[in-house]
Amino acid sequence: MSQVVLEGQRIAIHAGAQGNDAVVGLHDVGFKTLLSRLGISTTWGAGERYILFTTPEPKIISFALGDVRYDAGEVSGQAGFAPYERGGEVYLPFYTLLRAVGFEPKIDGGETILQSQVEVDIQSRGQAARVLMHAGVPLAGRLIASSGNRIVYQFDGVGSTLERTRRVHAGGIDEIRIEQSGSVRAPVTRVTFVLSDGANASEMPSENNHDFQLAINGGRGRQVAAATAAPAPSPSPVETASPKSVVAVTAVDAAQSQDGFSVRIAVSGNASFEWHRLLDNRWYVDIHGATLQAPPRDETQTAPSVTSLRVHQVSGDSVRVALTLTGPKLVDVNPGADGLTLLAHNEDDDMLARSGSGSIGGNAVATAAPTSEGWKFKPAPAKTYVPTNPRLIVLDPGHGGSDAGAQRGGLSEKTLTLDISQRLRALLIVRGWQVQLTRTTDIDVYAPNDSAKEELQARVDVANNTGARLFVSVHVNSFVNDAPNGTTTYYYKTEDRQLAQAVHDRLTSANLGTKDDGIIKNNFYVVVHTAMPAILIETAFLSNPNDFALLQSSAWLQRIAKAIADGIGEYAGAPVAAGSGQR
Amino acid sequence: MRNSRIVFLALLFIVVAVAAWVFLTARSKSPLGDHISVYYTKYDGTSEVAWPVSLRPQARDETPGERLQNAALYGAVQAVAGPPPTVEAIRFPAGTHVRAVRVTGSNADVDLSPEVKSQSGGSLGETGEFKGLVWTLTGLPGIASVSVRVDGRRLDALPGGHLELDKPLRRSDW
Repeated sequence: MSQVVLEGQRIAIHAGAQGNDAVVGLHDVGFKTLLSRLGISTTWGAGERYILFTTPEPKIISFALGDVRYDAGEVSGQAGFAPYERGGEVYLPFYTLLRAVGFEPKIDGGETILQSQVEVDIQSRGQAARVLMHAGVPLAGRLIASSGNRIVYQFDGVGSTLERTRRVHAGGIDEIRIEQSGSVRAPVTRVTFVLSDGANASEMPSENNHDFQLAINGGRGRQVAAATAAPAPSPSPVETASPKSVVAVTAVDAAQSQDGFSVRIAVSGNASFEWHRLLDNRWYVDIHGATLQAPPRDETQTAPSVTSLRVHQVSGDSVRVALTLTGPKLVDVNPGADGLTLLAHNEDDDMLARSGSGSIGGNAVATAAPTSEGWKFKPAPAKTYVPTNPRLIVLDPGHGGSDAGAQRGGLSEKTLTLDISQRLRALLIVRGWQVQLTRTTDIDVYAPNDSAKEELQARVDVANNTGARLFVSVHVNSFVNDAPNGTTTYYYKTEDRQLAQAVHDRLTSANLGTKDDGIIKNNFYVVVHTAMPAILIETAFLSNPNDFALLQSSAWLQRIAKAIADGIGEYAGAPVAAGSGQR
Repeated sequence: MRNSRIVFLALLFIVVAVAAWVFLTARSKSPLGDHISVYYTKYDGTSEVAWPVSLRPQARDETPGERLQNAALYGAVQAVAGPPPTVEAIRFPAGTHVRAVRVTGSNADVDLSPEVKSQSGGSLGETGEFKGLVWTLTGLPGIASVSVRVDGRRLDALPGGHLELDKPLRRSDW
């Protein structure tokens, strides 16, 4: 039995010496307590060879029975011994695992002190860099010295086994020096940054208290200005502070040959790229971290496989080359040391990858997501749906009753969806439609606290049982952070895309003040199981400050309801008399 | 005497042949290479980005079937954990992890921890999470679909969720 000390707290673990390591059982209660305290989850089952640990960072630590090799994130190493199974228990190299998750075991007074080790990662880009320091315990950096081109941060309670001097000479950093002092139980680590001439540093906010980040900018006047407690306002100072990218698209040449339409993109420097194929036969490749030095292009083409070619700068640091294909054409993507060559074949292909990525330059490589069963671009034949009530539109206000959906600042999704749906109903009735809502008050459509499927099926049943012409489900989106915003229209059945397109076009042309997040195929229950043309609209994000402000405005709710009504009108035309069903 | 010698040699031949067959079967090469592609979904909810993750070498006694099972487990754990923290990616709710993966035929059955139920309420996160997982596993040779359990149990849909989870998910669902 060992006493293991983590941040001053003792945990009794059955761990014995084995060679220069220690052995611990996977199901040892103390070991499980330790993993729980560190927020590490374990994946292993009886009969499995792999034993996997996931840290909150996240980092995956991978062991395998009978194999001395272990992987910790992108790093591989040799454990003290190979994990083994005996009597239903798996025995692991304890110290190896501790080190892999950032702790150095130190013996002191008969106890094993888990000393958290600070990791330093430098991501340089041009004359700027981001320094990310991480530890297995909360990491608080204290600026203790700043003079000339040297700044010194002190981290209490963490140690370091990193090399004492790291020569960087990139991203505005010349050198980093790391010194450990203090005691085994109260270690202190000082990190000295020697900056390049003209570089400065500022602290950046971190997403969790185990990280400490510095932004180094080499592009400004000679000063060393490390921020104190207040974090820098910019979440991505490397991008904002960095000078123009050194990667450039210098020329784009297109030509028609016997094989197809070829595009030669000349790129100077190393760059990554990713390409995407959209359902409507548009195809584009983004070259990341690149500046367009060739003239932008927006041209109509008369090639057998391509009708348009566009070349332009997007998102500040990517160059996009976009093709409109005449059909489901295979596009070869061939990266090389000095650029990228595309070839859009003349013939149709029915099994095409939807996206891929790779790199240009010294280590040119391309990979495409493999095609999969069912991923075919030939449109599925439209099913014939004949509504028994062609004047009826069913609106589905998302969530309700015991299911509030997304919530923020007193606003809930269930209230907003009902509000928009009621406005939409009024507009559609004026235009001659009959409208039925799946709920008209704050209730569960099936029953309070029902299962998700019971609730969703109940909404589908309203539409299917009434033989409605269309089904429109109204939702409000949300996310774990406030970055995403915008309006998305979802559909599932191929033949429903036309409805999605018509409504989404109206939503985006109505200048609603939020972003166009596009039309997306998705197997959402209500659009899969409804018999009639069906869409689900995520109007805006409650979690985004801009969208949140919009969702609080009655005028905006009315505008989005009108846009949906206009889209329905564009798709379905005027209501028709009962008995003359149309699609 | 001569007959018993022939019988002995015949038996020896059979033993050697069986041993060779077992040995060669155990060492037969898996189509999986030295890395797999793990996908994550960008904030736009539609773009899948792959990052390569190295796969430990095939063990001598690891059959192709077990190799696929191990790769599926590793891929699922990586996909649920997500890319490095500096990457802007849609991620499963904090604490979500893979409890087990079982490959049967062309389907990978993934058992997730209950933290996955703590969604933010929006469809963007829910979609992006599962899309990355499905793309990762269906990128492995021989896997075409992914079924989902939570805490060992089948689930129709996540609480307050939108995706239909009571049938295997495929790339063609998106």
